[in-house]
Parts: sequence; C-alpha cells; structure tokens
Amino acid sequence: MAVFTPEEQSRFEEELGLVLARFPEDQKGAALLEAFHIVQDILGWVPDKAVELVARELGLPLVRAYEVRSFYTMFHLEKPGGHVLEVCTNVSCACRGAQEIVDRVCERFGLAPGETSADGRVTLKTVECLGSCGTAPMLAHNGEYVEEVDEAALENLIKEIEGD
Amino acid sequence: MRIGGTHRVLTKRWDIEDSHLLSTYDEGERYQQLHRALTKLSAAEIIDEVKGSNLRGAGGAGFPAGLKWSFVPTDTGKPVYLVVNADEGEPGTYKDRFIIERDPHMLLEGIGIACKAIGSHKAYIFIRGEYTGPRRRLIHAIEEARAAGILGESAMGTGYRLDIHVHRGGGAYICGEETSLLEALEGKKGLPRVKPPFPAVEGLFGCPTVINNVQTIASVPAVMEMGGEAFAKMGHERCGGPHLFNVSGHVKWPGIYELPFGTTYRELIFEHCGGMRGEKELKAVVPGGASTPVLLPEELDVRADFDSMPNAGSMFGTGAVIALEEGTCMVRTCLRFLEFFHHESCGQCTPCREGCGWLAKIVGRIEHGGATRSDVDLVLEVADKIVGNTICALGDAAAMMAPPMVKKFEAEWNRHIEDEKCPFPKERLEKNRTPEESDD
Repeated sequence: MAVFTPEEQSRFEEELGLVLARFPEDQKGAALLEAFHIVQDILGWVPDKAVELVARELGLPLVRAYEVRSFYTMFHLEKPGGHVLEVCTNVSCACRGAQEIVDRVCERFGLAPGETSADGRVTLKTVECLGSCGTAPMLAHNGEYVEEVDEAALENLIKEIEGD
Repeated sequence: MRIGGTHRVLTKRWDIEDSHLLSTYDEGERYQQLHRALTKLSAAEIIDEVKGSNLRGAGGAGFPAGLKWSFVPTDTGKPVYLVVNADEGEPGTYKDRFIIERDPHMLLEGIGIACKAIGSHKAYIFIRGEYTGPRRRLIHAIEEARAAGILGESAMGTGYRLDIHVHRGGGAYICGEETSLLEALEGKKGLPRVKPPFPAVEGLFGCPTVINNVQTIASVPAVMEMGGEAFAKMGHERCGGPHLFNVSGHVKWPGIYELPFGTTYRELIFEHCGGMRGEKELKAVVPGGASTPVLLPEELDVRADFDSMPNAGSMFGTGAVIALEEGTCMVRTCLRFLEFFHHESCGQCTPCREGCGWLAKIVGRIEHGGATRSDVDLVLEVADKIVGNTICALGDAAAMMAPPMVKKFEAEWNRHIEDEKCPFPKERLEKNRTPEESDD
C-alpha cells in the first residue's frame, strides 16, 4: 500500500519542496520535523510507512527518522479519532478546573486520557502548557484553541461532538 | 483576559482592529527603523544602541541582547544565522504568542535589524508546533512583507538580502533551550549541546548563530526608534525597557501587562490585576514560570527584574506570574510541575532523567497517600543531587522549584503524610464566567 493517494503525494512533495528550499542543499535532514507535520496534516497521523518514505526522501537513516518521530509528542503514532481534544493540565489551567474537563470528557465518551473512543469519534490527550494561561482553562480541538472554558462551554462542545 | 499596564511600547497596536496586517503597521512607520538600519547604520552602531538599551533576553535567562550579538565572529567565511525562539513553553507564559498574533510585523522588523547587526541574511523563526493560529499569522505577515519588497533579495530596495522562514517544532519543552532548539531545527531529537562551543561561534549547521526570544527581538524596533538610552531609562538599573508580564491563576483579571522592569509583584497583582478573584486571600505566587521558586504573600515587595529576584531566592524567568488563592494545594502544585519536568526531560543526563522521575514519584505518594515522614527529606535530598550535574538547566529548574515549595509550606506537607491523603478540595470549573472575568 502506498502512503498517499496520488493527490496527497503531490501535496506532500510540493510542501516538502518549500521546506527544503529554506535550508542549505547539504542539510536536507533539517526538514524532518516539518516533513512529519506535513504527513500528519494530510493523514492525521504519522504511520510507519510514512516514516520510511520521509527517511528516503531526506536521505536519512531509518533509525534517525523513527527516533525523531517518537521524541516529539505532537506526532500521533496511531490514527486518532475525528475529534482530537488536547486538554492542558498544567498549573494555570489545573487551578481553574482543567481536571474537570478531562473527567467530563472521559465520562461522556467512555475513554481514558490517551485513548480513542470505541466509535472512533474522539481522542483525548492531556498535554503540557499550550501557552494559553491567561485564558485558562483551555483545550485544543483539532488543533484550534478553545479558551476560557466554563461548564456551559464544555457542555456545548461535548454536544457538538456527540451530534457530529 | 486583559491587556493592560502602564506602558504601550510593545503593545501599542494590540487594541487596533487588524493590528496584524501590514496596512496597520504601515501607518506612518512602515519599517522605518529597518530602513535606517540597512542604509544609515553600521552593525557596530546598532549593537552599541542595543547594548546601551539594557535590553535583556526575555526568554528567561535575561542575557544582555547587545552583548550576545557582539560575540558573533564576522570573519569565518560561513553564513551567520539568526534564530528566533518562538518555542514558548514555560508553564504560565503566553506573551510571545500574543506578540505574534497581534503585531507580527514588529517582530519581523526587529528580525531585520538584528540580522543587519550580526551580518545575517537568513533568519529562522522556530515556533512551537501547537501554535497553529500564530503560525498562520506569521506566514501571512512574511508573505505581505515579501510582496511589499521589505524582505527578499533586496530588502526595501537597499541591496541587502533578507529571508525569514517559519519552522515548526514537534512539541517538546526542552527545545526552548537554545542548543536543543538548534538540534530540532537540524531535524534531530532535541538534546541540549555541551557548551562551549557557544552558538555564537558554532550554532546552526556549525555556523555562527544568534538565538533570541520573540519579545527580545520584537523590542528592537522600539529601541532603535527611541534610542538605547531612553529605552534603558524606562526600566530599572540594568534591565531596560518594559516587560510583558503574563499573569494567570486566580487573579481577578488574568492578562498581559506591559510594565517596566522593577515593578513589584504586589503592584502587579493588586493594582493591575485587580487582586484575587472573589476577594479571596492570596496564598502563593509562582513569579516567572514553573522553573522559578515560589514566593509567599509577604515576599511580594521584591522588584520584578532579572537582578533583584536572585536576592529574594527566586528568579525573574519569563515574567509568567501564577497567583494562587487560599485553598490551593501546594503539594499538588509542586507535583504538577514535577510531572511536567519529568515528562519534558530529554533523558540525556542521568541526574535529570532519573531525578525528576523520582521527585514526581515521591511527591505523588505524598499527595495521593502512601508516603512516610522521611519522604519530605528525600525530596530535598534528591533535588540536591540534580543541581549542577546536568548539561542544561531543566533539571536545575525542577530541583530549585521543589525545595521552596516544601520549606515554605512545611505544615501542609506534613499534614498530607499524617492524613495519608490530600486535605484540599479539587479545583472546579466555573459555571459561567462572569463578564468581569472574561473582560477583554
């Protein structure tokens, strides 16, 4: 199985080409993190086959590509649900009730932090500070920030996901 | 949240609609300071101006920016790089995100001036991968600047080549450490490098490199506009200018407050942030992010700047002030920070990799039950074994944060052990944020 459809492949090549143009020609490896981001933008995660493709494109040893994928927390090692919720649980958010967001999402979708719901609808992650401390508590919903979360806002978000 | 403070130097356009667009930045200013730097000033003149401004690195370390620039050798025959550290991740810190969202052109102009000062033609802005919205703003601003001829082969028609690229991180706090950031930018795991060699001599791809925080670079156009001396005068002693204090926690009005260095934490919290929400008592203040030792309410008259804080047994850090109200569990707060450091340790140095883990484990059993009385001493002992024994400051930060949490709230720690559980209630979400608190 190919990693991408032909359309996805050309998007990957085009975007990677722009990244490579930023760096000296003998430093293709510098594009590695961006290459994984591009893969994840397209597929929603970074599967093994994509790691192999990226390593080949950049001329890197396979082990280098694998160790970098696993070092950085943003790259999903498994296909996540349609709604990825990343809840900041560091102190500025925790002191304003972040744990209640985590508990409520777990209860409503029947999962634990780090898991995807059985219906593949929701993935919940607890994450470290996302730089939204003045508008705490917060979460990222498919990468977009939802800030100043209160009970009403959380309930609305859960209903929106349930209705999707 | 609020945007406030006594100064409007870095935040002067933040209230304007579409403040992120070139057309807003254009009004009367149009990259004038960059043009002056490229056409009228020598590199040495710019560096002298910045040295005279007492502009300090705003990413936490407070290193004098002009001095850092002066370390770059100009005769190596290698390219020189400017790397802007937008990998903002110190818990409590969100000022750089707002600079990027509200006034990206101010940052780009600062980058251009800094490039001229160090003889660089290429800058990379390394932005944390989670900042998707800010990254979009930044890319748009760079496109605008390129289209307007401000960036490119001949920046502002001066013949000076100037390229700026935005590069995403992968979600690792350690990459805010400058040498670790360089590793990430080279497409590697973010393991801090042993210094020397310092990045100014051997940085990105082995070439001379300056790494500066977003706020530091964004301050440069103001320094050039008003002159180094005037900028220095706005601050306190050797810390020039205003700082963007990012306040969070239980204050009535969390937000970003542009205030001069040397403002006291008491003034910040009680005069600018409206005191505590619901008129509750203040219990503790984390003054500059997770890495900085906690202050008690009676310690808040210390001046907030890089040089005064060590005298109070703490650090200025990023100016990320987290104010905690009465009823907040300090064991839980300490545990949360320790879990953070354990999670973010790159694993390279044993004292940090193992020590942060052990600290989190021990404090975890004090918080959740199962600890013995000697565990409190064990926290201090393990912390002592980390300090000074690692390549970078991450382990030190954990090991210097934890002991004051123990010593300043000792009765609370002992009560946890006696009760074999946490005596404090869980924090709850607010039902509906009052208009006062969501006041923008």
